Amino acid sequence: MPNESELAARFWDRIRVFAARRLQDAAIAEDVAQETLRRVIEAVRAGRVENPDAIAGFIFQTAKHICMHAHRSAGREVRAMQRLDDPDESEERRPTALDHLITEERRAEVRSALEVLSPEDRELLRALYYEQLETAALATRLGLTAGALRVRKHRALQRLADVLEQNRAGETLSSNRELKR
Amino acid sequence: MEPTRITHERVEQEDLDTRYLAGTLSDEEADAFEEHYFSCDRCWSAVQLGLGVRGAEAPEKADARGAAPRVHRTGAAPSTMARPRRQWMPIALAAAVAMMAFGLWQWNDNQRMRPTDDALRGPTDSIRAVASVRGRALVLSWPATATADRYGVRLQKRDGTIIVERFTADTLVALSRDSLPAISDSEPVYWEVRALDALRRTIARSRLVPARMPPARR
Repeated sequence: MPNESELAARFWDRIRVFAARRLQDAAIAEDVAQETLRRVIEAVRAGRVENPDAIAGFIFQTAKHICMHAHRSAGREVRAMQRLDDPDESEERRPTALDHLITEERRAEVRSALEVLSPEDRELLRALYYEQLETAALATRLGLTAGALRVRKHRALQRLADVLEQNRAGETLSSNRELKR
Repeated sequence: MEPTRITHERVEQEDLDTRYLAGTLSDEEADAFEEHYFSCDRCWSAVQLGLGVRGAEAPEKADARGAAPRVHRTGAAPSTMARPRRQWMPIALAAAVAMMAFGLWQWNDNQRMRPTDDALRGPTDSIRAVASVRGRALVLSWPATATADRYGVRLQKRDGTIIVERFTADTLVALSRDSLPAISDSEPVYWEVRALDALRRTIARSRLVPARMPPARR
């Protein structure tokens, strides 16, 4: 069974993203993450989770249960209120609770990593994740088959992950040097 | 799409990670995909990267100088602050309703399941944190809290937008000024530190402490 710190490090952000999508509130999502981990760790301590392979499923079900209470009462109102919002803005991509989970630091590090990628990779990732184009539409625009687009997306994400990893290692070194001065 | 039984191969075939972030999966599909990414590190990594790209490509938020600093909750729609009143009012109302409903639920649920909201938030101002500058690093240090397992440290803007978040067992955090190029020298930013117990509950927190910033490199 992973220890408590490992559990928190591995699942904290997953629970926050999961809860933010459901509840459309980044702050409440953090409360859900705290409460989920509290219940899970208490269950682990009490020996109620015996199979380490089942821990991810157990955490998911616990988070889902906690969200459900809030969702039932609040979700309908949120959706109803959103429908009342100004229709003029409906075509514009607005920030959602998921967007509010991204720190400025993360934005900056991904932005600088994107600058290192080829223009093709950058455009592809932008079209998929910012413009949120359907893959079929994007494949047509780029003159690719759906399969070829999937391969390009997979490789572009891998290159982005590699650059982020390299940059992070470099920044840790640089921060350590600053402190030693 | 059959909503149950998601595999990594199926995620790739049906582009579920991208569609999840675009919000175009049905509730059942999204639910099944979420259950899958709790146990699949590769799919979770794709979600994180996609979310990062979305954030990186989004236009910079309007400068929130002049807005009152938000002390407690962070992460709720700061960018909507700039919208005309008639546009953000429904969202603000909805958020208030959601928070009240969640509060009521918490109160009810906590009759049998602690902690209360106070326990989650912890006492305010009980950590005396000190901001300083060392070389080109912004530094925050604080005395240890006896029962803390670790500390959650945030650097944030006046409107509550989180610039950096760190979890550490140490009582000091240092950030290179060069890692914050989007923050101008004159923009007020604030540190906050929370002491967390082993269950990640907040047991103590600091005030918002104005950060001291070495000037950005020209």
